[in-house]
Amino acid sequence: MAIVWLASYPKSGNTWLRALLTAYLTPSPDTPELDALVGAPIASIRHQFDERIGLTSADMTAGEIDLYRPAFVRALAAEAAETLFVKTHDGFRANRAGEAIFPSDATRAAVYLVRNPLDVAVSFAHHESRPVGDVIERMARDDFGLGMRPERIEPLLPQRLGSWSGHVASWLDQDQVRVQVLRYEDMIADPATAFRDVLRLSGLSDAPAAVRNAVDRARFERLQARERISGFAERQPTAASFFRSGRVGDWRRVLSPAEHEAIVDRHGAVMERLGYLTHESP
Amino acid sequence: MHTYRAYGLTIRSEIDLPEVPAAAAAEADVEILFGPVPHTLGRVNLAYGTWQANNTEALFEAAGTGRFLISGGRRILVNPCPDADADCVRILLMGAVLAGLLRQRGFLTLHASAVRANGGAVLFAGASGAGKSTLLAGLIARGFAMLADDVTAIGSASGQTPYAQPAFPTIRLWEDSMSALGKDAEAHRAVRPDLRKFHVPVDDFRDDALPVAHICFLDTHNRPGTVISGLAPTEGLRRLVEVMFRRRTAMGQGRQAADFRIASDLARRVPMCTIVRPVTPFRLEPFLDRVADALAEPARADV
Repeated sequence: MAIVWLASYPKSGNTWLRALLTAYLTPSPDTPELDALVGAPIASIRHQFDERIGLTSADMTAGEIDLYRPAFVRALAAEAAETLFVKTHDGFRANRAGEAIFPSDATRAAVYLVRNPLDVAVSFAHHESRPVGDVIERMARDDFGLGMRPERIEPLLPQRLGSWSGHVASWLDQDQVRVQVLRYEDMIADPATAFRDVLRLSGLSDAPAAVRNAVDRARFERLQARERISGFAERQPTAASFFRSGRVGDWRRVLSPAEHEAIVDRHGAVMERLGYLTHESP
Repeated sequence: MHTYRAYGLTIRSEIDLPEVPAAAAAEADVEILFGPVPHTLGRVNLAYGTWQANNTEALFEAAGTGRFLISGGRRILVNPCPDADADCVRILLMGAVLAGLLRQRGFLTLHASAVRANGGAVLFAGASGAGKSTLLAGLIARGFAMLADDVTAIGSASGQTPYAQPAFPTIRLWEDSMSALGKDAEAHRAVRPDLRKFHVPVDDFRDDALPVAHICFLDTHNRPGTVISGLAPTEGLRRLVEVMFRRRTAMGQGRQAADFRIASDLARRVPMCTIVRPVTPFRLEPFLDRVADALAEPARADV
């Protein structure tokens, strides 16, 4: 079967989309179980790689792991009985043998979730309990990644993100895998329409009742309440909660003019491309 | 030609293995030789990723490093790529390849480290990065003897508790673990180029097989505090299956039924628990003290 990638830079609505898919695909009337959401990032889980490739990724460099990632993804796709949703924060790239790490023959499509980097910065700073200035600097770095420190090991495979603009461009400017862009701000404004587009892209029925039901069960307030009751493994230990505000335009209250300028200077071209620089845009 | 001892076996090897104790030249149980290795096995039960296997042979190929042929539990042929790094060959040889040979000799291989405690072997199982090696090093510093680092081989003894086979007296630690343990990375040999992971020799090593006394599964959570809880046998068995090392290769080697029998035996006879620690904030020394204290007690359901 084929994979639908749920691709995004961090803090751009990926988890919410996973909650929507989970609500849609599971018959329970409850709010989705947060630690069992559809779309687990299995292509980034070290243990999964080791067992399907038969190598110890902990003894390999990031470049060496990348050489085997196309085969790993193909193995995941081959094992899936139906369309497999997989979250990823990796930028779209090729390994040093020239093969895309997201091979097109195992991929149906990708939903690329994107959010105004001004709000991403605010959200990321809260998530990591870091000063916004640090986060802005990270989002600007072409060599930024997760789990890439050479002196330690993480449960997830190294993920190369690049800068925020670089990440967006890597997915939107490649021609190997079909990509549908989904702006977080559009999801907030009209979740049913946004979700219907995702369902159609994935070859799933977009019957209005099922869509409405999923949107209702995965409403932000319900996810927040669910987290308060049962916790959420993706919350960073130092953050008060994962589902914090979910609002659009928080940046206006939080970022200083200098911080705003730093982000627009660095990422303005891509922001323009995505409609984030018009006067009225959130 | 060198002679070594590891996993209770006398190994004659054309490749030198600096981390493995030398042994007096004696009749070898296992030979490791350089030699041509084909690209495919004639007959396979299973082929996936880097492995091909049948009941008597396994072939493993790591692009850029080399091919290995493991036969009859007695011989490993090594065919390195022309410019392969020798340490990269060694890591594979002493890890996945040797585990493949141990399975041919009837052992269940688990992703676990092991110490001598509680009258036998106490295993700490978990995925890469769970902290098996760091925990092992910390327990050795607190006076426990080492049995194995990354892969523990379990043998069955009819009518008795399965036993853990001692491996060899080296732990492989990442640089940040070494700093946390007060060890100097610069004073140790790197496991391979481009990774800040090091071989740390161990003096307090136990060379005889011991019955398995307890199995602990290491995990993390995003809450404060470390929680140690007992596991019921059925849940313990499920977790054991998850930590079987290269389970798919083992299946291809015809080991599925035998491995499951040993695992079931362990689940029936041996108490098991989970040790769940915070990722952060995490203070290593108090955690090691907590685990060491738990080991000094006789095995109980909840500690």
